[in-house]
Amino acid sequence: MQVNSIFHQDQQRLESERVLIVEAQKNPENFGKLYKIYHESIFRYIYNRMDDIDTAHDITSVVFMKALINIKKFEYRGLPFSSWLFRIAKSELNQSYRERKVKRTVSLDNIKLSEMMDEIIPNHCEKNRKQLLEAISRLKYEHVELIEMRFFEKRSFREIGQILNITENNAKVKTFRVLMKLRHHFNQIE
Amino acid sequence: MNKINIVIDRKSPSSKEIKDRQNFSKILKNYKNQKVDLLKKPLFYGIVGIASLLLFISFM
Repeated sequence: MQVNSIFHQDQQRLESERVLIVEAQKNPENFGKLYKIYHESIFRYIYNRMDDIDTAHDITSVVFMKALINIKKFEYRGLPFSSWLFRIAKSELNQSYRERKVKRTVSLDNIKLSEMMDEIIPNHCEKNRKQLLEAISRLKYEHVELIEMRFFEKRSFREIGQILNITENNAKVKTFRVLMKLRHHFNQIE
Repeated sequence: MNKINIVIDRKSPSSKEIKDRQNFSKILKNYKNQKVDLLKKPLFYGIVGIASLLLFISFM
């Protein structure tokens, strides 16, 4: 499966990012460079999980505000800065669902849904597609997240692991188990 | 009842639309205000006061 390449930074990019982090830790105004680099990916991560675009923009601002407040505590461990931002975004999203008492949104597209169907069922008929959507909606909240990141956002297991604060191998095992659960729900609906 | 709301093929905003909504100045302003707000809190002065008192007592 093809995964997105934004996250897979080489050592040189990670090192230049580290310089930006140190600059931001010295002076908050320098945080603007990191904001420009990651604003879009953090916004898209949030918007894919929200029903409202304005709320998604507001939460994105809160994420960067919290990152700016805590930048001095940030310790570089050789991981992309984005994994830290995604973790803040995840926490802010959860808080928003609780406060607004809304259902969590899962944004899917038909092309990627078809790709995912290849892994679950051989026959791509409309009935199976509806059945798969029903099976996804029966999954637990945290399980949907794994499916979403792996199949719809095309994230690598390494990145999923860093966002969820688990190892790459654990992310792989958990995703495999969720796929098994999904197949089980799918067959139950039949 | 489903715990999630599935939306399919929702139009995603373009990179330009997202960029147009960037506002780092506002974030920086809020950050600076938040630091000022801390100085305005009585609790802040309470903690500073108690710490100073303890320091004074320890030197006596």
